[in-house]
Amino acid sequence: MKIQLKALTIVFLLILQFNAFGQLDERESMFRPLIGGGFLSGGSFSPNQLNYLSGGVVRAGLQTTFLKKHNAAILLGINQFDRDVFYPLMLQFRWVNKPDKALGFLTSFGYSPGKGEFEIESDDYELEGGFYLEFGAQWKFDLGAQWAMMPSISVSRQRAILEYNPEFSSSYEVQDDRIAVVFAINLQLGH
Amino acid sequence: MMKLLFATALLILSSMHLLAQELVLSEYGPTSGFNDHSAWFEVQNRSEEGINLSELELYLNDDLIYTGPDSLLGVGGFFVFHADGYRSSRKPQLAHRSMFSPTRGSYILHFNNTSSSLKEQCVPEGMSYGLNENNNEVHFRMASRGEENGGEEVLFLPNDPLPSLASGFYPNPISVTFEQQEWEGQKTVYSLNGVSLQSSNTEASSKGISITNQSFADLSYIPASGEHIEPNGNVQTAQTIHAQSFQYTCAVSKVVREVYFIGEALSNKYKLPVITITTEDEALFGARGIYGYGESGHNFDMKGELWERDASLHFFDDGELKLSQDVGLRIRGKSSRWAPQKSFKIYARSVYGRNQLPNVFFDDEVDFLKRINLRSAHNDYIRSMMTDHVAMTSAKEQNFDTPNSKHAILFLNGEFWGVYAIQDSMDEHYPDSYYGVDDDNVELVDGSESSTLNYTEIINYAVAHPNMTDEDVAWIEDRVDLPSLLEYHAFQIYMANWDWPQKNVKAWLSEAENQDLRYFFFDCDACFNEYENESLGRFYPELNTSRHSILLSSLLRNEEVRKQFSNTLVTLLQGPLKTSTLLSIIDETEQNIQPHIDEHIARWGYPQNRSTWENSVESMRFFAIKRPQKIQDMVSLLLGDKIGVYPHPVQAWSTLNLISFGLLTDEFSFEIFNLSGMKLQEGISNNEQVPLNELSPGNYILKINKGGFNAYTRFVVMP
Repeated sequence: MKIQLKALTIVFLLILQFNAFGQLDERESMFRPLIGGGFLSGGSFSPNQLNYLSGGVVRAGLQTTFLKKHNAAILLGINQFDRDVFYPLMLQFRWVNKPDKALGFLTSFGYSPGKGEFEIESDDYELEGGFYLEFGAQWKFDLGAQWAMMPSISVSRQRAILEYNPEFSSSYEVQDDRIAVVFAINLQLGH
Repeated sequence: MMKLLFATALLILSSMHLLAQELVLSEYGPTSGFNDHSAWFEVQNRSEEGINLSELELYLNDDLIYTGPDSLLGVGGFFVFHADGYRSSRKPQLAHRSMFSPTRGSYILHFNNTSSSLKEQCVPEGMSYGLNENNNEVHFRMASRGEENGGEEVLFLPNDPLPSLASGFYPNPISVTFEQQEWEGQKTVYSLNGVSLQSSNTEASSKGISITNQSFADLSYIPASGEHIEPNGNVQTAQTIHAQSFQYTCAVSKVVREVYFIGEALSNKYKLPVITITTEDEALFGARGIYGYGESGHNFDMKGELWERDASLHFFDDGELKLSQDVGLRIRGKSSRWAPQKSFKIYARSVYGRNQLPNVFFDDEVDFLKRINLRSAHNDYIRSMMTDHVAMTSAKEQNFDTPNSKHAILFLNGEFWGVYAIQDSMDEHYPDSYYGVDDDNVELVDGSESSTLNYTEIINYAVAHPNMTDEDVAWIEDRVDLPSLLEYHAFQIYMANWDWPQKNVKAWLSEAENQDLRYFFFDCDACFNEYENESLGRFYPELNTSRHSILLSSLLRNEEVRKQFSNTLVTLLQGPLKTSTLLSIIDETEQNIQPHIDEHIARWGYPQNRSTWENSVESMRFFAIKRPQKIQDMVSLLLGDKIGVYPHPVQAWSTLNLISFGLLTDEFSFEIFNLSGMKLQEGISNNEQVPLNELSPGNYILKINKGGFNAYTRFVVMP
């Protein structure tokens, strides 16, 4: 987890650097850094099984405005479900009815590699990620001239496959999808 | 029909012994022409003085149905009276006329403080039964009411009909004859539709009975549950035949029941063994039938010997008849009794012919069994129908008592009744069959009922010693097979059985034969459901759950036992509960059931369809792959590498309870961090609790420090 946090921090700093190098001084910057975090609560769904899981989310990326009022962002994140971790790389869109309204509709999609390897005796188990989808609501509140706080609540769907590799026989794959409610607070630098 | 029976034969009593030293039941018989169900009785005064009959009483099923008159019966005199009170030589006092019924029951004659139970006897119309001149009990061709017995005697000869062809699979239609001895008044009658036989049924001729399997299912369409669904399409049938020998109007044999599967296609249709249970339809769905609603509205929920019916069991493996035996049949289970497909318990008893079943069912060294169960997949019947079987199969070689389990196709009264699992019955007879412990010396611990004194003593000790010292563990070990107990609980915990331990706990011990407490592992229909299930949590000493969890719960407070239990879990994960091992059992079971699942679904309407069933089997595989990781977490918790918390998620400003198996009862320090590493709270606490300050919703890390011991755990605060 610490390594993952470090990786995200580095990504975020690079984004800041990129922005600073570009148009930080310009109020109407094309890309604005976005960082956020929160927690998720949901489960692992497979045929006839519902298993409660919870964990945290962290994400960072760049956001821009299109069609004058909507936002689009490219984000890299960490979604942790108890012992399993996914790294979604996603495009996020925030749709608003009017630019001055705080509430917007959020939709994200992308792809997440997964990490959930473990070993029991000589058998190992490997989690593979897959398509990631998230939709919900996000509010935007300005915090002075430079920052905006954007809390959100959304439902996420993570496709995943668990591969079981026994020592003496062929491997076996099972679908191991996740669904979760994500509570997050994002901070945006620039408006 | 019943009236007809009693018009032509009297089916009661014998025992012509002295009622007292002086009054003898000398003759009796059926009454004809007056009342269909009346019987007459003749008593004789064999004393040397007159006898007042006012103390003569006749009881039927504990009800007084006749009281003698207040008058003297002279020396050597006869007195005849009727069970319904009419036509006696003296006017009787009738105590409960309305209680007399043609139903056979237990008759008791009572006179002068002496009671005599009368055994069942059949007497055809016009004949009587009584004492001959040598005081032997015989049938008389002509009744001699009120006179000395004499006349011609008739011998009733027991004579079981012997079919020319045994039950089995036959590619073509067959003709069955019944061999019988030539004897006065005897004949063999039969039925092809499961009715209770009377002497008036069709007589089996020497030409034979043609068996073509043209029978149709009808029992399958009788609702016996609120969840009943009519079969979709034709239900496969086999032809049953019921045959019985009668002499005049009296049965002189048991009912012989055979089952014939006719047709080339049927010979190869069933890959699983086939077991057939055949009895009279009335015994299943009649007023007193054990399967249907019956006269009570819920006959299937009735228990005890009154709700056992005689039946014939046939077992076929690879199309060959391996066993044919008459048995007792009961419905078994609890809530499964209310399901459409019910479970059965089979009893081998001397009264049915043999008190043991040859073990033709299981590949086991045991030669004989006393009871077997035919299990439907109750809690799992809408899903894979195989969780219990897989669990039992995987546990078979373990150090606790597990039933053998084998899937089979059941035909009930000749109708396809679906997939069942044949299993050992886990009762007081199991230790007899498998350990040679006499049934009478087995103390059975049943989850719901009051337990034996020895078990109660063990539980009370665990309650009184929640923090078990090594001495306490030694006390337990003197009475409990501890390795067996740990293995049993580890298995159940792995299986995430949600129907346990609040239910489905059975164990046994034998003080007389020095056998410590051992558990029965059974009923795992509610297993393989949730790989993340925190089933160890039912034994957290801090939570102190059901009565049956107290023993392990208290034991886990002991560090050595905790290590032993952790080792047991790890050993199981490397052996019988290894993912690949379980997957191979699941695969094999799936292959066994798969050829029959469509027919089963068509018969019962459950599972919903083949795809639902396949998904459920896949779900079991998913469980087998995912569960070990959760078990490893539990092991970490047991070894103190990790601290568990509850409730989880938790509310801010509440108390976070810690699961440490007693480690954090005394003072310890704690720190709480957010995910960015910022310390938000710290303090000193004890009693396995951490009071939370105001924490906003999110993820936090709790760090515990006690002496040199450090542990971390993550927890979530909910909004």
